[in-house]
Amino acid sequence: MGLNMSKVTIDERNTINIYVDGVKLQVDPEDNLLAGVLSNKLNLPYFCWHPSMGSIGACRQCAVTIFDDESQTRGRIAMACMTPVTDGMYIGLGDEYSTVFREQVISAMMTNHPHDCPVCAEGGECHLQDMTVMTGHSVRDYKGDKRTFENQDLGPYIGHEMNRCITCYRCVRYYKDYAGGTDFGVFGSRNKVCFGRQQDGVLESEFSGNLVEVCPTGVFTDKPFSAHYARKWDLQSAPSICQGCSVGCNISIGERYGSVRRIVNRYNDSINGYFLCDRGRFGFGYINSDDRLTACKGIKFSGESPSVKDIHISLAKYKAEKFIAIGSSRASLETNTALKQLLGADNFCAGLTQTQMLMLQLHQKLIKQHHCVDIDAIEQADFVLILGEDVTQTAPRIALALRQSVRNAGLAIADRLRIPRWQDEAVRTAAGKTLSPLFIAQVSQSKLDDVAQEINYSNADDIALITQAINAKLTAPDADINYLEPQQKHFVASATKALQQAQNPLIVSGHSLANVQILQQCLALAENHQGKFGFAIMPSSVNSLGLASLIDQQTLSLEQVITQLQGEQETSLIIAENELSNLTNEGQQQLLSSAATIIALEHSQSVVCAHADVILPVACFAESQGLVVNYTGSVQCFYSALNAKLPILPSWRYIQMLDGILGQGKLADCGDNLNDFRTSLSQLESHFPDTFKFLAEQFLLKTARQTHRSSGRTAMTANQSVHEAKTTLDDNSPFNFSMEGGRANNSSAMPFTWAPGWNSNQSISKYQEFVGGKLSKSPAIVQIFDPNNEQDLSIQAAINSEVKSSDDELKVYPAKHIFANDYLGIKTSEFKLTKPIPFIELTPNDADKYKLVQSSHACIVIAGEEFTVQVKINAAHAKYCATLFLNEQVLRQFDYSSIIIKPAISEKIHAFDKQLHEQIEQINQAKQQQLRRLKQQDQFIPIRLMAGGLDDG
Amino acid sequence: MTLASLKYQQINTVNIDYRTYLSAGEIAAIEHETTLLEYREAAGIEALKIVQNNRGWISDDSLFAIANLLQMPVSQLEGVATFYNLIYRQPVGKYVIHLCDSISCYLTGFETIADYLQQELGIGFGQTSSDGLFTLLTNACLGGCDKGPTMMIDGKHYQHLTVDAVQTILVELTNSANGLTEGEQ
Repeated sequence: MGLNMSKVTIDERNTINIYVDGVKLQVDPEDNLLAGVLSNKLNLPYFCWHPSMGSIGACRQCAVTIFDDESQTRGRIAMACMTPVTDGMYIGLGDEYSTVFREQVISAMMTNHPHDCPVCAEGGECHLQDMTVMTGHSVRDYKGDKRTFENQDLGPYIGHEMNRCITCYRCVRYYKDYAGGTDFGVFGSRNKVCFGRQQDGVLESEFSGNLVEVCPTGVFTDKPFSAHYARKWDLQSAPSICQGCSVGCNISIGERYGSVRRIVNRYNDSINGYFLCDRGRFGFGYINSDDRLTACKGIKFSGESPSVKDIHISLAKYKAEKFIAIGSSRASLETNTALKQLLGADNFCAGLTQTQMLMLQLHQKLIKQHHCVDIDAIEQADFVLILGEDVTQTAPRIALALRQSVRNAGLAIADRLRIPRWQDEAVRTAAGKTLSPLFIAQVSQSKLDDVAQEINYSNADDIALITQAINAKLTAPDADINYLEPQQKHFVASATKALQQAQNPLIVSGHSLANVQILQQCLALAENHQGKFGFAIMPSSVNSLGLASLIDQQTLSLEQVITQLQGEQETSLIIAENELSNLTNEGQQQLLSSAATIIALEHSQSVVCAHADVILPVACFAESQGLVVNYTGSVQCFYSALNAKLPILPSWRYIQMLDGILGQGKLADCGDNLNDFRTSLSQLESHFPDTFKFLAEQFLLKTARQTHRSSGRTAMTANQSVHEAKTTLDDNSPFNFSMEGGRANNSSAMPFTWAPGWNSNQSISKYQEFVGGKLSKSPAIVQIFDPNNEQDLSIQAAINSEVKSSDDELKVYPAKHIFANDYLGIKTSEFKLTKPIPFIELTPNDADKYKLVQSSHACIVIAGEEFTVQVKINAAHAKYCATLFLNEQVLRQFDYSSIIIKPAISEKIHAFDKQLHEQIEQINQAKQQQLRRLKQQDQFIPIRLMAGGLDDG
Repeated sequence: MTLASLKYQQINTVNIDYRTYLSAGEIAAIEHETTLLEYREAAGIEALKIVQNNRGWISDDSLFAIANLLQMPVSQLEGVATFYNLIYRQPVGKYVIHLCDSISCYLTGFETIADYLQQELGIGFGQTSSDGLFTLLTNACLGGCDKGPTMMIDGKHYQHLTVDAVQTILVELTNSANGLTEGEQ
């Protein structure tokens, strides 16, 4: 995942020999000495170097002694990260000269580093702590004053404690150079260098959370984690998959005393590398929220949870009813497959609209027949065309990868000058502002605009036309594209020209504009130019493509379900993990009020639960195990970090129980072990992936979810019983809910990362084939769409070559925002604070049409409902279009065809502004209340090693 | 715009239109500098010098206006402004005394000169005298290690300093600020 180098396995690398303390090692001749030494799993302390960001030689920590030959006894000091490896070089790592030097570097850093480790959130996983111990610096001999700073308020996510800074420059290199942020910098000089914003304020980057992991010490800390804190060694962790979007980033969830404390990155070279977005890192608030469903409704049972028999008795009265099962793109593959089998394919609705189903089928076809690329390949692209999808908001990790891809033209200049890629400063200087071509056709501005070569603002239908025109121009240069407007024609001409010169062109699009034509044109482009492009098409949810694999001719759309419900025969619904946000208010009401009975399987409050006759509380992803399929069709498994309290059970368990009474009886005998259940599902459902890879590790030594120094295991429940409780058995996964078992790296999916002497996440280099490369044990990934499966190719979705151009009526597109895309994420208090304030954005001409030019706020009326929103007038926006953000859009769809837009009257504006301030107050109160509840919960634990929070939380 | 950013709205005055804030002369001079350099933002340091020459120091508003003119992030320009000790980010007196406190000057009597200056002007380091004439700063090395102690005022270097010499310099500068020549005293 480092430096845009194409990925090779260790065997494919040419190596040369170097001698470290007389021992012969093999290293890659393209590497610097530090990377070579670390790839050989030796301990050489460092700070400023990062596998994804290269070397700048700022910290002076990785000093080694270089000898001219074997016989020389007095060498010279060199910074390993700034030194290229040469064949047969002799270096000293354990020699006294460099050892003392490295100790002195730490000694100098310690003149300013405070003694606040006990109250520092980084304590126990601090790279500075590790390196200090590694260099042998164990005595404080500095008597002078320490430099002090005033800290900044950087918003609700990142704490700031500048006194801890060791001036390695990693933060600013990450935030500005790597992630493209503009509101972060380095100030001052000499002994007073400060890293932060120009003034207090919320960090604007969608990737700010990575500062916590990039900083080798505790300058930047995870505020929500600090507020309810536990040491890393006390966290029970599990490898999981982020549920925030369709990228499927690998994460590690940390739990203590029954609540989820934090999420950190889990390295996967081809999916997320070293970095996550802030949606993924901070968006787990709903798991601990008061909105969680913890009790059954409509089921009588004694004991902790309902048995199959209890369910049978309580639900017997519904036995004669006809049921339809509604699945969800945020539920696991097991849940959706079980639902389909529960009532049969003809009574299964995927929880999608007709349009969404069609788009997923087109997407599926594209994946099967063409090249859909992972992040590693995205970073290699030398031409990118984005068609309508604002990936920074809908699939942020992709945007971060695209930001690396535009560097390729600059990297080529450095390559020509024979500057090694890891020489970061020199490479950036040589590259200057040279960027690879990035072309964006979009409705409104996006965060990638600053690196785009050309941007065209068009509505969704026109973007499809543009795609069609590019396709035509590539096929025949003299093709007629006069149906486009002059600006669009210019865009097509320059994009086509750049495309023809590219070796690795990439097309990026997605489902967020809900436009079928764009996907059809992408597919047409792929078919006309086989193998020429890579594609990255982003569906809306974590398991959209898993759900897509279950869709067949019989699968019902939401519209069809409504029609059936309103028909003669009385029909009931089983709705699993679906808040029906794909429907309008009217659609939701039609669906929910026409159903005879509603059985909801859900973990968080929603409109469905409010109407449900029966609620079965199910586990959220942190408490359960399951498969999800990402945007490239890769099946990945997430594992539970904690056990939910009964009666909360995984969805599939409840579905299995329902089967005996309401279903067709196919699931009842599938066993109560997830692996047996999966095996049964794969026999019932032809597209169910082969889960052997996930299963294989089961038979090996189980891996401990807790660290081997986890505190208080035997005392945690002593208030209930002084007998040591038996640990919860987990028959479903290769992990134990215990500190006993194999070390973290025993399993290919590591619950957390740790190595002797390396407590921070930087220990990951010990488990990579070489630093920044593949993991030595690659995590299990299965491709769900087998291109060799003939049967799969007969997807009904046909390419419609006739693109319909749109009329001049105003089109409204809901604004996408990283913190406001789904109803679960928005339950996080911090997201409520950092999502947009409702707005409408349009061009000056369009604003004039609606008399909005003079007004700060607009009044929007949709189907009788009135909303006040702020007005943004922006020439950089598609004409005859408006981008609208409403708070309610995460809960339901809107029928914009009936929209009325007019200036807001002053009373409304006043009320709107007043409401904003009340909202801040309410959100902060709710946040504090939730924290109090969680901490109170901890009070019942006899052994509380960290009950409170840290002051940077 | 988000709820969280409302809190910072008052202090986030980052968007200052340079056309209303900077003078035509300043704009012309800065634009000239940009023509000499590969990238607009490279003129940052020259722009700061131009505005400081006119206004004595760089206020937040000046910083925002220059960033606006050069189309660069404020954080980047602030990095430049705070890196150089001859760009003043706080109001300074008419004369800024840069007294060298690095090792050679330390050995040749920096402390005596520093004590005298602080006592005579009634200010500490980083402060400006009440008459607005003098600001006292330290400066790590002025490059006159063989001629210490040294200081720099208004671009001019004073070397081999003694208390008497400093006294004379202060009187001369005060007089010239008050429009007096030596004879009129």
